[in-house]
Amino acid sequence: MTEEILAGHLQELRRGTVVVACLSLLQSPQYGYSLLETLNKAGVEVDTNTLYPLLRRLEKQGLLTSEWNTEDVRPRKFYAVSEDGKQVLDVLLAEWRTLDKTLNSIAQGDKQ
Amino acid sequence: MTSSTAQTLSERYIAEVARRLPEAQRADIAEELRGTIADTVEGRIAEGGISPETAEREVLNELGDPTVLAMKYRDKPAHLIGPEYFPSYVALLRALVPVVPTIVGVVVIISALINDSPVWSAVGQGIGAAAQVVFHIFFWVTLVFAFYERKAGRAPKGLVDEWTPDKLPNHVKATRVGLGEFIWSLVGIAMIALFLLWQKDHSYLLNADGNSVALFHPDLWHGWIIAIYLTLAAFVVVEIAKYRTGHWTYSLAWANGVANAAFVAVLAGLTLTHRLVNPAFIATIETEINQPDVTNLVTWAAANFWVLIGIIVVINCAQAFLKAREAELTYG
Repeated sequence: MTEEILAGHLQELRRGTVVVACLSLLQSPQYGYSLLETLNKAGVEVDTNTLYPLLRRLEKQGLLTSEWNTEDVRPRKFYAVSEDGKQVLDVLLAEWRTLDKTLNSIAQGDKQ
Repeated sequence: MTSSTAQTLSERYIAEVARRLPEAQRADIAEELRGTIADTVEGRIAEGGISPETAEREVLNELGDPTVLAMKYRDKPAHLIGPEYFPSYVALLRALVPVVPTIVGVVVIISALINDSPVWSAVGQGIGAAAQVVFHIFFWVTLVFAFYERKAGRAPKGLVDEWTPDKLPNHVKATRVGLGEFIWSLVGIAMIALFLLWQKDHSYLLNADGNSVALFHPDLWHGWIIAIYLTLAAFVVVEIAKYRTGHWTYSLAWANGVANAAFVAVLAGLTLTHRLVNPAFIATIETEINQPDVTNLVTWAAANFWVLIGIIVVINCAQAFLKAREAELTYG
């Protein structure tokens, strides 16, 4: 198995988790750069050039709201999860837990 | 903060992204990007020991090609034709590319010959026209599909069909007639077509003046050649249909029979009006080669020509029906 294959599968597995992490973290409003820092510190790997377009897309879908804050050192766009976004987050988290349970029982079933 | 050169670098980057965005989003995204770059650069400098210029360069490098970033913001496909349309795209090209250029090429060759162009010039014109048609087909089909790829949810009916189990063929398809067999059949037909043109000026038989003597009657070039090429085209159509179906069927065998009948009809017409073999050809053999053996062989071949043609035509038709029956028994 080459490293490229492994990297490809890992990336595919992580793809949807960035959305869940963003919706979770944005229950308290943050601007892009601080969200990126929080995500990276928490171990969620995401690039700047992926996160910002993602935030725009979630906002367009109505899952996030945004507001410019001009009181800081420089103008910053703060994002927060909307009501719709919270509902989506609940469903996604429930799905995540189900997947975790399912995959665990499959993996343990293999060992027995 | 950042030096003036570093500022121009990031401003140039932001401008490169912004000008590729829809106007409604342009200012907003540019402003956010400006803040992000500044925040990230400050973070890098605070982390330790690099100059503002290096930090800025690093950050822009990580953001990557502005074209790509703009594309991510626009959320438009970064491919010409995606997986949804690709099968229809290929299917349409496969239907058009073998047929249309061939027809155009043949028509151009025939009309050039009717206008008394030299043979090789006519062939050249035909190939040139066919090649142009190939380019046009690729260009316009690709353009239309790339357009629909970008008009999500507006696929016209027929461009992309919903697949249902009803679309399955009503029998298990045979292993396809091989591509090699298909190509050889086409090469064979093409060789007959080219031989007819070639023999006009390049027969090895030379008369007393040193000019080559055509095997077939000169009247061939007054209309008859069109009939001959049309029957050859009919054989090409049968071959294409057979290759696409993957095996002989009864309808294909009948079509093949019709093509053979047309071929025989044209030859019969030529024979009955004494327009098949060039009389000068036999005369030249008698006078120039002047060997009784050769003359006898040629006259024998001319006399028994119909027997030979008859055998070939019967074998060809019978084979098609036998293979169609075999295919029907195997695959229902």
